[in-house]
Amino acid sequence: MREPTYFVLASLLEGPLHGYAIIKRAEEMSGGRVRLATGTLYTALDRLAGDGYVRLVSEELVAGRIRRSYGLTDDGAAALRAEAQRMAEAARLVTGEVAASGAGRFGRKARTA
Amino acid sequence: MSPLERRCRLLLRAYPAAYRRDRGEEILGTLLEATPAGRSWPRLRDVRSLATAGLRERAAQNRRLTTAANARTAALIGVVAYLGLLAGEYLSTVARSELDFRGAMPLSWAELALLGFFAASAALAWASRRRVLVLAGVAPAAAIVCLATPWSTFGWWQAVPVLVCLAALLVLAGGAQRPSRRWLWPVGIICAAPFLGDLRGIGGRAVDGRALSAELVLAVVVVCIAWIAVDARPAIAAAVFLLLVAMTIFGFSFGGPPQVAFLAVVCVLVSMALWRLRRQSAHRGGGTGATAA
Repeated sequence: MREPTYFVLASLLEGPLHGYAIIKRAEEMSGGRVRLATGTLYTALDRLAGDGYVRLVSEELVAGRIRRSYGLTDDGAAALRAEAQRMAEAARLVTGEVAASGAGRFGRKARTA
Repeated sequence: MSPLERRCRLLLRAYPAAYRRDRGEEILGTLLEATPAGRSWPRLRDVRSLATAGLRERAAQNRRLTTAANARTAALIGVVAYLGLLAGEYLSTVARSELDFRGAMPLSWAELALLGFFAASAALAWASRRRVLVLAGVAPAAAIVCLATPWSTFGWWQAVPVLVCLAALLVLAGGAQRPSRRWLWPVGIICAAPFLGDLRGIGGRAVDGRALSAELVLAVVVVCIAWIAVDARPAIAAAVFLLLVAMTIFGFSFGGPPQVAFLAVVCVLVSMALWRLRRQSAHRGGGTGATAA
């Protein structure tokens, strides 16, 4: 999972958000590192909706324009948790904590190497 | 509408029309919110990402149809563009001779009927799924080409590309896919290009209208070929169009070095375009619905 996709999903953890709110939330969560461009956001949303990770929650009319809010599906939440787990294991491999716990696929690879 | 909104709307035109209808207003709202106050242009990264995403979305449109269906649409467009160029040449020649008062050269009944049947066949092959209707336009047009032969003064081989086109219209007509209206732009420009031949000057400067006309057609062909990364169909249509034009110009003397080089270039173009089209199209079995391609 690419970083912008990860942060789009993560921004929806606390509830449904509309496009601009997702951009702001992703920027906040990443400490300003992930600044989603509008085209990137909608490409990611289309793909995530196609994969069943994100769903349309509500539509409202704001200043004459349609505003759609998107929410995380159960599959999306599971994919996000799996990705977070994978990154945490990868991080522990470097920080050395994996040797102490003796678990995880990165740890097993480290021991056999 | 503010200048920013106008520019954002212009930027959204990178997306296909159907996508814009569905998501355009929503993306526009987000884009306007994301642009810092006081700016009259969207941010550079938004411009870049929207242009890329829009072109990617355009490329994805072909994925609804199979390679064969896409190639068929492209070939039909190439044939219609060639017939349109012929019709434009005819009509502009008549218009020019009448404007110059060098004695009227009105269309003969055969030429007039031929143009009518061209238009009917092309329109029916474009819009109808009934081959028998296309045949109603193609058969009389072919009969006029063979019997009344307005081509006789130029050489009999010039009738061959026209007969090939008429046969192609018949073969390519039918099926579930019809070309969408956006194809009318390049075809319309090619049809209208011969009328530039009447130009003598612009703003007091002398202009070679014939050269301008040829350059405009060439520009459309170049743009179609350059579009290959996004959509390979215009490149295939351009290759079909170029082959038909070459048949008209060269006749059947394809033995000389320029002709061989030209054929080699067209073959490379078709191969590249078909390779791209295979990657851009759906696999066999997909895209059976009636859609505008």
